Amino acid sequence: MPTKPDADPVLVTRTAPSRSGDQNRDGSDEPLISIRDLHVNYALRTNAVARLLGRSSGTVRAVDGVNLDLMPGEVVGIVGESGSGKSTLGRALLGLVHPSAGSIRYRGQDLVTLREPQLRPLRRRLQMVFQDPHASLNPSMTIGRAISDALRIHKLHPGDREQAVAAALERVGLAPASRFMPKYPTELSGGQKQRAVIARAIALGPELLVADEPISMLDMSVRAKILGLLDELRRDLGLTYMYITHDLASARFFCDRIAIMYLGKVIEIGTTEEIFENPRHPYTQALLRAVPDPDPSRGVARDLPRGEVPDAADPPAGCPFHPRCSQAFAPCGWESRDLRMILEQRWTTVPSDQFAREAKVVGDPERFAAAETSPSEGVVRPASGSGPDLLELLEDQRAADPDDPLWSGVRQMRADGQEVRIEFAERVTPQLLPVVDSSVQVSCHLHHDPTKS
Amino acid sequence: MTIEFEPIEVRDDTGPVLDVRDLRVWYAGAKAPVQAVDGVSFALRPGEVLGLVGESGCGKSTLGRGLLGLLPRGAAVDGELHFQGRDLLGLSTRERESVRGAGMGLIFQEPMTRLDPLMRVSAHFNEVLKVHEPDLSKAQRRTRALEALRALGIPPTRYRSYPHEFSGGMRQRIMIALTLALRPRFIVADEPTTALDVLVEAQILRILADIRDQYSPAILLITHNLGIVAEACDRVAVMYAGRIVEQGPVREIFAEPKHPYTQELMRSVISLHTRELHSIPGAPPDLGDPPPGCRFHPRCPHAMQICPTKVPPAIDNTECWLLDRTLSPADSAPLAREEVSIADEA
Repeated sequence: MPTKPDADPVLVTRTAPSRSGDQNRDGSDEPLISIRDLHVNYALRTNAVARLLGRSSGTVRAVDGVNLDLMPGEVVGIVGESGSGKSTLGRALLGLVHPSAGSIRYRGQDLVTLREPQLRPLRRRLQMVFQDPHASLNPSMTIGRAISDALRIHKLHPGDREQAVAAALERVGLAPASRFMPKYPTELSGGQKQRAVIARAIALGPELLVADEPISMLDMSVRAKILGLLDELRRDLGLTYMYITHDLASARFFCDRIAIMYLGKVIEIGTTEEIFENPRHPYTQALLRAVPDPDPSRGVARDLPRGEVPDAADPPAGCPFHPRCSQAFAPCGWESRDLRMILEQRWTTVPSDQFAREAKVVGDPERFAAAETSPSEGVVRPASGSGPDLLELLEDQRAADPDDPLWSGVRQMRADGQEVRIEFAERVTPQLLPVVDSSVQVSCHLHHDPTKS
Repeated sequence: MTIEFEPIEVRDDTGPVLDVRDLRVWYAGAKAPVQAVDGVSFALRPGEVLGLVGESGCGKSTLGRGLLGLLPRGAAVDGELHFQGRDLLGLSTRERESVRGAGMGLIFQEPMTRLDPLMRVSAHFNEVLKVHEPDLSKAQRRTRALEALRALGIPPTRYRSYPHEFSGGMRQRIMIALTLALRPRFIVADEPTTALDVLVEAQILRILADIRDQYSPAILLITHNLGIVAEACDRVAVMYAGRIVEQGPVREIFAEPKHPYTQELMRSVISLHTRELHSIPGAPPDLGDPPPGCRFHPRCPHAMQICPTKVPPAIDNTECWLLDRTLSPADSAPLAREEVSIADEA
């Protein structure tokens, strides 16, 4: 990933004015949070299960080189599917997971280098609201106790804690506070619990709230209430939000800017308006098409990307989205394991006797995963039969579906004795670069000529 | 992706597969019996998809389970439930079990927890097929299973895999394939996409649409997402506090919802076109002690004097007094509404 710290005008200036029209609290252009080239890797330990599956230990790059600024008072949406690394990014921001590389500057201080004792006073200013309100509250603590404990830990309001707790509860609509303070979490509904969790977060007087899917576990009639409350708090308390979600509709309503993440990388970022009016990355376009719309004339979305998010422990070469992308072309990162996907797709359509024949030739298609000999050449061997048999099968598939984007990345296939050698087009990994005349940055060869980068 | 099934003989294609009249389900409650489903009537024809919507706690899942005879012990069922012309409520437990599977199927909400982690996918198929179609040979079972898996885009190479080797979306496909392998005439899909990502959800909805086109089972799709109803259903039934308060064709109801609850529900959806948030005050009532008259009246913006006194009749498939043009001025005078505080919200 390229890192161009502070050099990018799109990142450091906020192009869209805040909806509420208010200026930054301290009137500066300094970002509240500045994330640079952040990496969070999780180690995969070799355990019995992994050994059985034949997987070696490795690392999952949950967050893979993210650059992001949050201006004071701004709501930045982090949108992605499971496994995109969006929650890990939010947790890294609060020091709940330790980044492997990169920096997170909060008011000029690098959080990554701080140790827990130094980080703790800052936590008061950086708070989190989790997805599941029930799991976020201790079942044996009353709501009043849960909030006053947070104040006690941070040594706030020593004399009049009760009053501060009541103020926070009433601020989130749990009024009269005296009615809710003695209640246990099980006595509250989902929406009330989420309000209590928000009260606990704002009681500490935070500047930033990381809200990780705060409404996705709630009933639909309550979602609007909680989202409305978050919006109100942003106006009244001048909060800055990182709003992590997979729900594009609420992100469109709530956010000023949106970053779309895929397999640990930001693949498109821009103002909410531009992202929704003119989505540029094929993945963003697909996400928007897939949102169920309460308009009966639309019908079921059909032109969807194939397959699912690949294994983050072993992401695809080049653009991580290329195997699923309908607009992918030669330089997007084609490799021999993409052939596996094509073959498995083929086998869901061919008659079963043909499948039996072909499966015998190919053997376990999983072997294609480790078939790269050089960056541009892959070698695959048939399980039985000869190279020409396997080549014939591949050529047959190419003839059946010549428009599959994969074939644009295959320069040449030839049988060589007991193997098939496949020459792929040169791979270029797309970089997140600004798009001319817009606030948007996108990481896609369709928008930035790969031959020039 | 196309789905190819062997042609199926369709019995009385014109009549409804399922005909439900005045169905009631209640559980034992702490103080009074909980009337989870209270007098529900609807019919489903082959190939028809009925969306069942409403807030949590309105009895949607109980209704779905009640149709399949999968209610927990202690629940009582009354009313009429005809499946392919047979009254199911008169059947013994054993006879009822024989209708399930080959006749009726269920697609659960949580694909992650519904497959046995110690059983291969193949074993799951063998088990259901052995139980419900004991006449099939081993080879026939395999053929049937692979056919159902392929229809859902799962390659035959994965037949011997274990559930943990699949992603959430793939597991939901396997669940659907397990249901389809028995070729049921009626399927209850209870929130089939709730735990899934947007793109996977869209793929599953597309699959359900393909299944319906190719194979025409009747489907009851329980969801809280009105977007899914709009895209995937022919008709919609709106459930509130155990009753279906409005039902009809999706296009008509989405264009012009008649019941205030339907109107409020549709306004509170956060969609890509949402510019202003709206929510329904309060929460669905305790089904052990529902409000008198129309159960929605405490939350209804148009409540009238008559609403708390009498249950509204069904006019145009909508249970609402607003549609009764013959009300006296005294009856139709607005009802003073109590302020609903957040203390009572869901």
